[in-house]
Order: sequence, then C-alpha cells, then structure tokens
Amino acid sequence: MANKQMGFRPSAFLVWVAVLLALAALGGAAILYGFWQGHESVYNASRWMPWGILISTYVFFAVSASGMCLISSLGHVFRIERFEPLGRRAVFFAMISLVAGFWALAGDLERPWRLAIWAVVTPGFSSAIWWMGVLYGLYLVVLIVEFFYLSRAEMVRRSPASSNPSATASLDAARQRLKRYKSFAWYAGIGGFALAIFAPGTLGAVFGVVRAADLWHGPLMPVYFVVSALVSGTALLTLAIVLTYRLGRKEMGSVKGLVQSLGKLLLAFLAVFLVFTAWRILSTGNAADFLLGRLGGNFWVFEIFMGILVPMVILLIPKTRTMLGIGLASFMVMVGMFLARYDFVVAGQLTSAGREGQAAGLGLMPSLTEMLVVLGSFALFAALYLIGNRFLPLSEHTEAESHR
Amino acid sequence: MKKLGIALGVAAALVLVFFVGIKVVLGSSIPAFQEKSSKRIANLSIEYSESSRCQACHLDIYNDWLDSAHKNGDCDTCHGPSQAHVDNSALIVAVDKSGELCALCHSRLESRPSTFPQIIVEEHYSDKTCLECHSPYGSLIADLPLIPHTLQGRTNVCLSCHRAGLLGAPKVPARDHVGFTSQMCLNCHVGSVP
Amino acid sequence: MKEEKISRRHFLKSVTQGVIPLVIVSGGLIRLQSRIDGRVAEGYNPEEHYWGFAVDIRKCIGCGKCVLACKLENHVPMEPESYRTWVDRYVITKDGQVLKDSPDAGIAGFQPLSEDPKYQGLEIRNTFFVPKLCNQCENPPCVSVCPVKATYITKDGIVLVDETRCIGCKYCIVACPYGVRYIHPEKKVADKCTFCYHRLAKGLQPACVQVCPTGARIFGDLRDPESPVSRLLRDELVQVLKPEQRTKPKVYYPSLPEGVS
Repeated sequence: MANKQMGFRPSAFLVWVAVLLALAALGGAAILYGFWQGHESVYNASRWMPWGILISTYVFFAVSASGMCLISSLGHVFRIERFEPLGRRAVFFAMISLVAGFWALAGDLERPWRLAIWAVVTPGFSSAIWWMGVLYGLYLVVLIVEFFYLSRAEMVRRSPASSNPSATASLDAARQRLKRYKSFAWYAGIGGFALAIFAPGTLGAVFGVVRAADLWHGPLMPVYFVVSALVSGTALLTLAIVLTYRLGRKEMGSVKGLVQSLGKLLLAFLAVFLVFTAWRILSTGNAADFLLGRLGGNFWVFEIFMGILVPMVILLIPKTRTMLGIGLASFMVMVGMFLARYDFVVAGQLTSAGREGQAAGLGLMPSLTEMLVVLGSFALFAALYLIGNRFLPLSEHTEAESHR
Repeated sequence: MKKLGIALGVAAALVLVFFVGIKVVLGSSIPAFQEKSSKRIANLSIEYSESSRCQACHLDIYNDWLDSAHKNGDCDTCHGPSQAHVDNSALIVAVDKSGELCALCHSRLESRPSTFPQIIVEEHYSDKTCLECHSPYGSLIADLPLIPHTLQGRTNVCLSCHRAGLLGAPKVPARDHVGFTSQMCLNCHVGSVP
Repeated sequence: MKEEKISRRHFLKSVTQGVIPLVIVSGGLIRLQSRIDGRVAEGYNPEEHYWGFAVDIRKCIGCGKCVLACKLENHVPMEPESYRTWVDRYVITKDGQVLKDSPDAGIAGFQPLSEDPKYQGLEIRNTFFVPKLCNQCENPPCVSVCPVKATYITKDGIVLVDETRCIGCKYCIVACPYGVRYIHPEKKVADKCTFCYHRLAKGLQPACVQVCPTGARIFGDLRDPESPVSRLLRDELVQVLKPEQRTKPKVYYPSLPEGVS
C-alpha cells in the first residue's frame, strides 16, 4: 500500500501494471507501424515466407488457452475433486491468453478490421482459418460467460449470508442462486470443453490442409495440436499457480497437492507429446532436411532437450518434484513450446513447394518490430493477469474451504 | 445425464441455426460480390496496345515489319506501352536506338536456343551502332548473298563447308558472324533455288 | 429473483424478435443484388470463353520483356519481390544437379553464366529459360483457403483477387505451391497474375503474350478449337508444373526437361 508518510510512492502493483501496459502499448504502436509501412518492409516476411513469429506467438497463446480450459474442465465439468480448485483461475487465464494471442495475430493481418465484416458476410467455409476464427471467437465468448457465472457463484459463497446459519431465509435464497450460477457455469463449461478440443483442431487443420507444405500436410495436425494444447495448458497453468503463490509470498499449503497432481499430469502429457512429435517429423518426406537443417539446432536443443526431456526427468524423480522443480519444469516446457511453434511455422514454409532455391537466402531472425509486438502481447497477458488477480475472485482457498 | 442431454440438444440446435443462417442467408451474396470485383478488374485501363492498331497510321512500317524477322513479337516489344500514344498521338513513345535494346535479346547467352541469332557484342563491330547496318523492320543488310544451291540434305551443316571455304564455297566473314552456329544461317540468308 | 427471471426471458425474447427479422431482411437485400447481369464489361460475356496458356521454352530467350510488360501493364511496383510473372534460368550440370536463378524476376534479362559465381567451375549439361506465371488452376488451393472468399475463380477460368475484401492473412500465399502470389506493397492485399483480365475483356491478349519477341508465350480460348493453345494441345505432348499437387493447372509446357518444377 502507498506509504503516505514518505510522500506518494506508488505500490509495486501499480508500477508493474503501468510498465506492462506501456510495453503492450509499444507493441500496439509496432502493429500500427506495420499497417502503415506494409508487413514486408518492417517484418522479416517475404513472398516466400510470409508467416513468422507473430503467427507462431498466436498459435502458442491460442493452444495454451485451449489447454488450460481442458485441464480446468477436469475439475468443474467432470468433477474430478482434485482439480476443482482450478476453476476460475484457469478460465481467466484462458481468456487473457486468447486475448494476448489475438493481439499478436492482429499484427499479422494486413487489414484485420475487414475480417469482422467479411468473415460474416462472405464466409469461406472451405477455409480452415475461417473455422478457426469462428471457433476461437465463440470460445472466448463461452469463456467469458463461464467466468462470469463461476465468479458470481464464488461471490455468493463468500457473502456473509451463506456462512451465517441462523439467517435461514437469506441462506436458502443464497443456495438457490448458487445452484443456478453453478449450473449455467457447468453448461458453459461443457461448451468450453467441446470448443477447447475443436478449436485447436481447426488450428492444426490450418496447417494440415496445405499440400504445398510437406512438413505440415496431413491428417495428423489437428490431433497434434490438441495434444500440444494439453501440454502447454498444463504447463502454463502450473507455472502461473507456482509464480502467483511464490511471488505473492502466500502460503502454498493446500495448493501443494494440486500442483503435484498437475506435475504428474504434465509428465504423462509430455510422454504422449514426445511420441507425437516424433511421428509428425518422421512421417514427412524431407525429415532430414529439417532435422539437420538451419532450424535443426533450435529443434534439438529447445524443443526436444529443454522442452520435453529435461522437464520429464525433473518430474519423474520424486526428489526434484518440488514446487520449485515443477515450476521450473513448466517454465522450460513453455520456452520449448514457444520456440517449437516458431520452428514449425518457419520450417514448414522453407520446405514448401514453390520456394525452391529461395529458402537458403531467407533470414530466420525476426525483425525488431515483430519482437516488439510479441513482447507487447506477453506484457498484455501479464498486465491483465495482475489486474485480474487483484480485482477478481481467482483464489483457490475459498473453493477448498467451502468443501469442508 | 439429462442435463448433458439438454445441453447437447440445445448446442446442436444452435449450430444448425448458425450454419443455415450463414450459408443460406449470407453466403448466397458471395457471387454478387465476386461479379462486382470481376467487373472492376475487367474495366481497368490498358497500357500496351496491339500491332493492328499501329497499322492504321504506320502502314508502310507495319507491312515491312510483317515480313521481317521480328514478326513474332509486336510493335510494343521494342517501343514499349503505346496505348497512351493511340489515345493521344501527340504523346511520342521514345525508343532506345543506342544498341542496348538490340543487345538485350541478341547478345550471346548460353541458355538461349542455338537457333536464335546472337552475337558476342564486344567482338561484333563495336565501333558502330546496330542501326547503322541493320533495320528492325527489314531482313537485314540490303544485299545479303542469296543461297544459290538447294538445301536438300544440307540443313544445319552450313559451316562444315563455309567456315573454311571448302569446295569453292564462299568463306563466312568472321567479323560479321562471331559466335554463330550453323543453325542460325537460315534466320537471315534466303535460298534462291528450291 | 422471479423478477430477474422474467426480465431475462423478456430480454431474450425482444432480442431474438429483433435480430432474426433483421438477419432475414438484410440477407434478402443482399440476395437481390446477386441478380446482376453476367457480363463484366461491354460486349464481353465470361461464359463464352475458357482461357488457357502455353509456354514453349524452346523459344524463350530470357530477354525479360514479358516481366517488364506485365509490371507496366498492371501497375505492379518495380520492387524485386513484387512480380506477377517471372523467368527462371535453369542450369543442369553433368552430375544431375538442378540449379536455377531469376535476377529480379528476369526483368532486365540475364548476364552470361560466366559472370555468376554460383555457376563457376560447374560442368553444364543443359541450360535454358522457363517463364512462369499463375497457372489459373482448376482446383486452386488459394481459393479454398481464403477465409473471406476474396479470391475466387471466374466462369472463364481466371482466378482473381477482390482487393476490397482481402484481409491480408497471407494464407493463399502460403498455400500456392507455385509461389505466384505476393502481397502488393502499396495496396497491402494479395495480388497475382490475372492473365490481364482487363485486356481479355477488350479482346486483346495478355501483355506478356503480346510483347514476347519469339512467340514463346501462347494464349487462347480452350473453347475455340482453332485458337493457338488448342492447336498446340492437339499437336504436341504437353506437361504442367507440379502435377503431384493436384491443382489441375491451365498453363501447359510442351517439351519440359526433367528437373523443372
């Protein structure tokens, strides 16, 4: 809190939010600069490789959002008690992750404001991007509805009426409202769960239908993206919980069990993901081109070693499976995932038909403008989380208490 | 379970309404937008004209050109976009007469077909400009020697006699024919005997 | 609570009562617009033609006049990455390597091989030029991936881009296996060769066909059996580029050496 005796000193919270929002605004300025100058002059984009880090950042955030909803559905849709505390935090996370993703995506569309009109008036049903846009848009709406009712339910539970056994009339009323809110939230949760499977599926299809791209083409992509969602959703959720408690210097207490469960879940998903990654790469004709090519180093070091193998080891050995260990493993998975998405988007284009002879001459480093946009979207994510954490009912303890 | 059933039923109904709504009602407008776009593109202005339009005013040159070695191209091949001149004859289309335009096509490149007339520019009369001897609308220099013998069984082997001047055949003047191959002879020389 | 419930029901009712008629009426109005005359320009009926193209690489001399004419005719910026058609120079070495280059799309012609360090010290078996352009595929991947149907195929077989609706997502550029599409640097939307649609509507040939000095580019109406393309398809064996992409291109290449794709 501000210390009035020493004059006006803004609290750490305000400083952080201001800095992050400024960074997000900087990212926004970079996006506008891109509209003005044209993407090919300010981004590392060309007619042979038009998609870059902005698309991969969007994929990263969108896939994480879907994953987080899938994990939290284990709790409040399928009623697996161990995961019920996740509820609101996970849904809120999914919402802001998707918003950050859309922010990065807006930077890659030359004329994004046209999307809202023409996607409705002249829809391209055969386009995987159309389906992906519609499903993720719907998903965001469903998440908002779900979060609204989950929060309402939480507010009812926290209100004095519900904990005062002597005021029976208002207690009954509170119970009725709680039941209604919980049921609406449950319906929204089912919708969110379905969309959290279909939406990353269509995102995978965006890449999978492109016959020109050997590395992407095939029916495996939608499934691979759903598995990716499970991995990155679990990892991001775990990381967020560990960070929130550690940085907020709160006692982890009852959440320890939850984090341990999430860690074990992450281990299982990573094993499946490793198999799918191998399958995806080996089933393409020019796997060697990618594995031993310019992005090969990135792949082996970041995607496989740092992103899958080391976290798996940390999560496997009980001694390293502490709160810190699980948090570290989750962080490594997220970094590996982020770079894996970049490799995926870039390598797919480099080895596409129609780009022969050009690939060798294309630079792989994103431009400054692109990196500012990406930084902006991460900053937006963090800023929204800080604000939500402060003002919205996200904490798990009350949920756990109400079950006693 | 019943809750789930109702939820699924409602969701399915919404999905159906959504698709019918979008596809039937709004999707049907797509052809209209496409036709509007095609119309706009079809009505764009043109820059390059066509040789038959040059004929109206430049009949002599046009007739010469039709018989020349350059007949496969078009007037605009060398003269550039001339629609502006067709619309307003005061606008003259300048053409490069320095020889660089000629060299663009006729300089020797390994990837060019061997039957195409090409010269090594530095070794072919580098003290003169192309137009001093050649006309772009005519065959070439006015008195090119005609071929006084039948070509039966003698195509693509001209240089076997004419390079060294064997059997009384006129020797090919090296300076005019640097880098030429036998396949190129008939591009310029005409036979006088069937 | 009961009041809450009633007011919510009332709200939903009024919303649906308003929205559904609005959707129906606007849909109907848009539908009326679709009763437009099929002609796109005076005297040109797209349903009477089906355009095809052929490129005879045995005649191409790599002068680049076609690339320049295309840029001038269609007001394509002179930047090296913006081109609708281009000429590739292929060099096949004696040990089977296939190399190619296209300096600035070939717009200013080519320099001799000896001046390019890439080809130094190679034993060359064959070298030739291959002009390329949009194949106006009958099964175009670019059309199926457009989320707003801004790119479409016309009745006369040309794939066009509606620059008023393109959102610039670049999906079509990624999906094209021939690399013929690009983002127009000024309009900021997708652009590509249109077979000079505006010239076809006036009974002219595409600019690149018009200016080609050797007649390497051949154009015509596939519906007319006596057009240059129809005659060529009858007289010669032709191939297309990348048939394995199953795009059914309409640009035909008689006599294409192995290694060209």
